[in-house]
Amino acid sequence: MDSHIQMAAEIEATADAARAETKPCLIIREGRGRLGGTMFLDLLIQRAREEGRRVKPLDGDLKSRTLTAIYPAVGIDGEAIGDGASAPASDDIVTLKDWIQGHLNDMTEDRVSRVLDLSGGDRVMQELVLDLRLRSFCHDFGVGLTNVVMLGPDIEDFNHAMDRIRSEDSRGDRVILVLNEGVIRQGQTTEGAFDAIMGHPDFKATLRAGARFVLLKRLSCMPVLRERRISFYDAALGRLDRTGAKVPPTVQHMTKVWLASFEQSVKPMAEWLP
Amino acid sequence: MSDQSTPLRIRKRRLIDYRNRGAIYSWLRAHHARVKSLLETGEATWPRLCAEMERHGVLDRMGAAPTPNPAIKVWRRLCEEMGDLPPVNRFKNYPSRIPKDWRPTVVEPPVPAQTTLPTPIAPGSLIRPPPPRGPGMSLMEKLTGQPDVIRTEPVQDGERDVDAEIAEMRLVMRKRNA
Repeated sequence: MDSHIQMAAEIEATADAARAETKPCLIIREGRGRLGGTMFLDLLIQRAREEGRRVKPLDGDLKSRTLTAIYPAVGIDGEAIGDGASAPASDDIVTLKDWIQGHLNDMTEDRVSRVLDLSGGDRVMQELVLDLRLRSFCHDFGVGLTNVVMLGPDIEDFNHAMDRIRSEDSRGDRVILVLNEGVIRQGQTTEGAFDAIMGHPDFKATLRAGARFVLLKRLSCMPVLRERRISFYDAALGRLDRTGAKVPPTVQHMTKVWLASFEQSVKPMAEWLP
Repeated sequence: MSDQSTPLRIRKRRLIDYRNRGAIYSWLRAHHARVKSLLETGEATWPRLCAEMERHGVLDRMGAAPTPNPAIKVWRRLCEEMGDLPPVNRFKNYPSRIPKDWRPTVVEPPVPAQTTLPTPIAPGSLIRPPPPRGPGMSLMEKLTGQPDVIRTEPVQDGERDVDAEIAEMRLVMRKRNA
């Protein structure tokens, strides 16, 4: 009995020591695909790095491998790139679980934030939650668990996301509902597109439970930035791209206004982000 | 990597006059293979290519020296017409490629001597937020060029007013489409 108490005290002491250091964030993207989730994660990574904070991208979306393409772990000359994206060896559940668990273990040591992009990874997360009790793990080891729920105008996507959120143990205390204007149809007004969701009792209940919501405005020049492979902040701050050219002034201005608006809207939840 | 300030010294080729196309188009088309290879190897940047065009006496429709952004547009159109994808502009300065220990040069602003004790901040007043966790200016300052200010939250008692937050968001959305 005494040994159990001592062990519990030691675990508590380890957890306290971990909490006393910087608190890394674990961002997990929820919601269905094609709602701009990877783009949002990329924005969070860029935002943190622009402010000099380290973030490791975890790319569990083996179909698109977008984060791996943006943040390669190895350069063309074969040299390792710091904080490049990590990806699992395969998409079977056991491999994915081991991969995520490995990173959770590393997080408790290196105290570096992670963003996790899973494609259709609900099953993996459910199993991980069952095995690990993710929420309490993050609490005990001083990791800030933030769930990012991407929402488009489709009410079915919203219902799916709410089902996941109701699974109490999978989410942290910090949930961000992202209303993505970039995925609404042409000709639809923003308010009209999200009217059903914002009026939904589950939406209000989630907010009352502590979630925050944010409107991610459309950035019409996004294709230009993608084509040039320039980061949002480099474009907005007038830095040169790889070819030595700046983006056109209109693109620079649009990106700058968009980022400033985003920064303003995430102020209330800045502590939840990496 | 060659010195960025030295000319590229691309061998001059005879330019063909293409109908409804400018001299930049003709030059890029005549030197397509060489330009493509220089861009792929990272040897050439657009400012250097523009300088090379100028050295060859190429001017735009207004009679001015070529500049990077219009030249890139012409290059892209030309590649499309030739059924050739422009070389992928792999971005070298992406944040993940910047060395971890890199920090921007920051000059500390002069601190005025404090002669009086700071006054307590009233709820609802504008204050400077705490300094950013990383080095340098806050993102808001970088993006807007203005000192970042935040409004202190009025003292809130009781439950959060979710309906008011949603109403505020609806207003923002309405303004977007106004």
